[in-house]
Amino acid sequence: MTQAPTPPSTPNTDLVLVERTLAGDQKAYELLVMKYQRRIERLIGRMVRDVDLVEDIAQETFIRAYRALGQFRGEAQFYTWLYRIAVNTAKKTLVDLRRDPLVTESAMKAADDDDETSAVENELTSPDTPETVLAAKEIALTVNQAMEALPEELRQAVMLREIEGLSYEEIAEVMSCPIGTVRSRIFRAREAISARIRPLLAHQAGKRW
Amino acid sequence: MNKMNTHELVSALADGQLADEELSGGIVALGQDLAAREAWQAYHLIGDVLRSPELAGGSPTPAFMRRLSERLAAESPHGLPAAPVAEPQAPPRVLTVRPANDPVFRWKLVAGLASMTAAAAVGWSLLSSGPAATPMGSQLAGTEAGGGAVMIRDAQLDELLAAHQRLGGPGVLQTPAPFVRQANFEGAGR
Repeated sequence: MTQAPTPPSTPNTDLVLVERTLAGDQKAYELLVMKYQRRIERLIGRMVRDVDLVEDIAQETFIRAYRALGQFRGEAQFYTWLYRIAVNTAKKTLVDLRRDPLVTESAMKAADDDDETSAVENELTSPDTPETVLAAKEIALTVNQAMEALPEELRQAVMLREIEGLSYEEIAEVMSCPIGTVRSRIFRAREAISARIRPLLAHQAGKRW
Repeated sequence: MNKMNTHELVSALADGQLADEELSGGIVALGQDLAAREAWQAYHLIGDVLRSPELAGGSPTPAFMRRLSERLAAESPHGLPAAPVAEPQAPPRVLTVRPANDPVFRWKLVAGLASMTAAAAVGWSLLSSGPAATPMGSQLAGTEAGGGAVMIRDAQLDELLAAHQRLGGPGVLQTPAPFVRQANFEGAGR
């Protein structure tokens, strides 16, 4: 399994959202949570097997990050900072659980491995239930089908952005078009894909797996 | 720059490609528009899934967000001065412990009788002693004033005092005693 590409960095947006949160705008923090929830859950899922525990630790991670947000100086990327909090929270939870004689060994996994890119380990210790696996596959399949159905210029624009991590300016150079066109193409590509996955997300929202 | 609709603004915001003014506008729109927030969620999900299909799984975001929002609501908000938490004022302590003998009526009766007896005894002694029982202080005062008052002397007491003066001698060590010698510290070796 190849290593997942690094997501495009958007430090300024994260920093602005952090600053707005510190200024009292809680909705700005919720935007950060929406953005990083899946990655944080995947990270925790490599350390903990219990799917409910994964969500609990993710919740605790974001609460702890919220409390400590004033300490985030923007010197590192927000996700890097959040990553450390998630790992520490998961480790602490596992230590607490080991003290609990009622928790079976199968609910936990060694917390020593906090390497986000250990794909093999991830496959062996996936916290997903059959339902979540099915839903994830369905969403992934739908996204890929929607990508294939896109016009070439839209697909290329969104691929250069999401997979290659290029800036709008760099994409404009590659595609020989204005930046405004790049922005519009990426937006239209996303809207087309969103239209396909929206029913799945709506179904997911009404159901707790 | 072309005028973008809200979702296009959100798309560019998700990519971190907005200038300062548009950045603020996009964030404000996200705070006010539910559809814009759903678009924000969907755009990030698409990006995550394109990079790594396994990120399509996990907890459903709306349920996760509802739960988190409830917990965040319990947290003190950033940017606002923490509301002064009123220290719970301890109610003034009222001593409610009653004496152990309080419910026993006969103790009260006995105490009352004892008080009355004491008062009666004092009153009786004052009345029965009459003028002869005038306190010593007033006798002395009258003597010193020299106003013709006769000093009442106790013969036995006078005799005892005289014997003390005769046998007691001067006060201890107020005059050189025969067993005390003067010492000289200015010896040759010093």
